[in-house]
Amino acid sequence: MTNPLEITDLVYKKNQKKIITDLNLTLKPGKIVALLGENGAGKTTLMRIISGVAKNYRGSVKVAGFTKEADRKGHLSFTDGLTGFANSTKINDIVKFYQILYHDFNLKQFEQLRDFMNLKPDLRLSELSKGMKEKLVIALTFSRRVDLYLLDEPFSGIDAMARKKIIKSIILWKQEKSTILISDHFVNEITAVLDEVVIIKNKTVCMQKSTEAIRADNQSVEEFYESFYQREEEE
Amino acid sequence: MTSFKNLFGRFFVEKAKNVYSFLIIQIVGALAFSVFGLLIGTGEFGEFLNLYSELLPDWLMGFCLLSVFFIIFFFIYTAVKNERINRSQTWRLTAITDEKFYIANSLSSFITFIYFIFLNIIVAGILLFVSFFMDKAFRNSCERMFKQFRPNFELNTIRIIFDIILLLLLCCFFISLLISFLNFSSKAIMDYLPIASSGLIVKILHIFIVIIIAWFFTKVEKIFVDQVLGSIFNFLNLNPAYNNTLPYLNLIIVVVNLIVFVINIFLFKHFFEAK
Repeated sequence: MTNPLEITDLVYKKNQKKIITDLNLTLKPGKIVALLGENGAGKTTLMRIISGVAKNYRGSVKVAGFTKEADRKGHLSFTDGLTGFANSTKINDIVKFYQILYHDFNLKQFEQLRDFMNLKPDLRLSELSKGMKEKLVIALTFSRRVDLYLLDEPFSGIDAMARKKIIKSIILWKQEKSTILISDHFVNEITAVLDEVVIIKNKTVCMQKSTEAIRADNQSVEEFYESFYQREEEE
Repeated sequence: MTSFKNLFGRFFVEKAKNVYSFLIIQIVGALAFSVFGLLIGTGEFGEFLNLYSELLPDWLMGFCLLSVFFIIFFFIYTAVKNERINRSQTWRLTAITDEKFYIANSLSSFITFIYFIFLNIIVAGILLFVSFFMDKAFRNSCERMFKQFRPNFELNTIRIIFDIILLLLLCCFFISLLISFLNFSSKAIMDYLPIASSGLIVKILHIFIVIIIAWFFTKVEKIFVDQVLGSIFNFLNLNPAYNNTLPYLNLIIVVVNLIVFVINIFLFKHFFEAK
């Protein structure tokens, strides 16, 4: 089966500054992968390149075997900040937008997720708190049937209780063969659902390891991540 | 994959959202102007009520006058909206090629602009029709004016009118393309230059681009004044002589528009990132 994501020799420069250098990354189908790294490590940039909104990079990026940006966009779902909508836009109108522009958008799935997130359909964006907006973004992202989900810090504004509930349910929302790449600072909260960890450091992927292998070394994902940085500091 | 038709339709809906609000403001504004004008003119409310039939031609005049400002304003509004959508990650994530995205966005803006003009013409037509049949004085002056000027609706005259309208629309499209070009090129330059120096150098380059465009504009303006205005004056003097250079001028602007369009697509596809 085709891998949902294959990146080869990726280089991305902006303002004459290298942000990503010689990055190689392959994700297998059906996995939930954490993308970890310090602030400014290039996690969001990497997701923007994968999703085809960042330009002028070198190297190959394949999503479900497709290299062309338009095809890639059709096979992935990226958590978007909904900045393209006016604050007066109702949730219902956003759903209409998704229904018209994304053929893989599943309205039934969205209704279920919206109920789960306690979001009323006639609410306007201006009436949503940061957390509610994040919940809406997650609901919209998972209502599409795609090979790859890119979640860029999806839980940042959501309260602890709701966050735990959402993280537990993620596994139920995705299709069996779909892969999720999550970048998040709450490492300890997402470890339970993770299959793999990818660490970005020095503008490239410096570690990709399965959570099984980490646990086999008698470490938690959080300990592994912290020890990785400690090791670097000692060196 | 997202279809071009769906995306175009969505763009149109997004941009046409405020068309009716603008039109209602324009109609109400023109009515308010004419009512106050008549009230000031008559001095008394009772007298004003007797002159209600004069309100309609005044309303029509006010509406036509406001049309000029509202059409310019709406053009700026669609241009700004166009650039916002080009930059929006929400829109750019749709599964369609950048070429098709840019074409759908630009054309939908232009169609919305034409739609607004069309609605203006319809409202003006309704006001003209009602004024003509409700106000005898207005009808008489219209008939007198028609007899006095004796407009010559020969084939040549119709062709001139058509060519002038086409030229004006092409010029509007050209301006919207130039706005996109300036936006894309300056962003591409800003993303290329080192952060430390980008502020100053980008400003200098920005000025340089503006100078080039200004020079280009003076050239275009010269053509516009010589050809378009000349033709309009010819037409107003009821000179039916058909100016043969006008279709060629339209053709030249079509070619220039196509060139700028292709350059914009290239910049958009390769350099213009969503935010």
